[in-house]
Amino acid sequence: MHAIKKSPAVEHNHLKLDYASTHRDIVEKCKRGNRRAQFELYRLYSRAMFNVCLRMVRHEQDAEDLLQNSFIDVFSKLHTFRYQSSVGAWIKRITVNNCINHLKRNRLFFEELEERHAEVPAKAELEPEEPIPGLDVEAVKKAVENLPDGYRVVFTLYLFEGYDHKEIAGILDITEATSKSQYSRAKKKLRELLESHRLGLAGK
Amino acid sequence: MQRDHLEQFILDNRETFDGSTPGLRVWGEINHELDRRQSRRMILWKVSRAAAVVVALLACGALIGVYLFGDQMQQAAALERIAPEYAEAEQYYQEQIHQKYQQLAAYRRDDIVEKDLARLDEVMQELRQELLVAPKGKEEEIVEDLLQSYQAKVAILERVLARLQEASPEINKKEENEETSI
Repeated sequence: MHAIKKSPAVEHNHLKLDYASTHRDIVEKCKRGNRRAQFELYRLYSRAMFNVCLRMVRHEQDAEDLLQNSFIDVFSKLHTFRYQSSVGAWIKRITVNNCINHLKRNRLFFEELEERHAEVPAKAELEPEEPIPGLDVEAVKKAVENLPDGYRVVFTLYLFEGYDHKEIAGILDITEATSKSQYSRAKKKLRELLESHRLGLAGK
Repeated sequence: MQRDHLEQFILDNRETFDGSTPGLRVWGEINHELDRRQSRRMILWKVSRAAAVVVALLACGALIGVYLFGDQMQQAAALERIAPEYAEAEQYYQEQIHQKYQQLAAYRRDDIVEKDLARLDEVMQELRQELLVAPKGKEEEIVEDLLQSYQAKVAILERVLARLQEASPEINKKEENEETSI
């Protein structure tokens, strides 16, 4: 079994660049209520955060509402930000928390997580994986969107947003084991969805 | 780090997955909300500033009150502490004096009487001051003196009033009528 200990996105170069900067000057101006700086901070992170929201909640309107609320939270809580992390990571955590709360309010995906967490890791994780031919970004996006909430949230937090299983466990208030098993099941389900998509295209 | 084909594909194309952009209305709404909060903060600030001015004025008033009447308040407290029954007596005498002063207000007061009353007031004020610093045991004596001064004051006022009423009984009569008609 290949236990995944660290999120691969953490090591990914473009992510490091995205979140490494503290943008101290902008942040300090935002703290003083400078609207131009607030717009600059929004401009820097809104697209990334909008895509975080989209992957988490799927619907564009909900994602825009969550983005709006998250940035209002960001600006009203910014005085508490002390550069313990990069400002990007701090904004992302606020956004992710808002998305989780939205899902909690509207769906029962936490029950879904609890029901499955006791199960043993999926067999697929142990099998040597075969490459999926003809992968493309749109198809993967669509397949991720079609994952059940519990799977999708853990999968995107780990692979797209770069949180490790310990952090995910903290965010979702589940065990690390649940996060790991949800992740491997999500990956298996994603492969199935992509495979059926490919077969569907081939059948046309 | 073991990564499968799917994970590697996603990581290699990570930026392309962030291709969606939010609508312009989002910043518009944020901007509007920030404006709203800013004006709410301004109102709160103005209200709290006004409240602070009121509190400051009240505090000034209280300080002025303590400055002007502090001694009297202290004296009253001292009297209350030393001999509560004397405090009651003092209150009674003060009411009497106040009443008689009101009755006297209708007449022109004699200068000699005025001087006597002023002298009594001075003595009483000295006695009150003494009371504040008096050693134990001496306090009751001072309180006795104070009450005697009150009695003297009431007696003087009564004498003055009696003399004035003898001279012009109509005014007295009129006042009595006014009192009963209330």
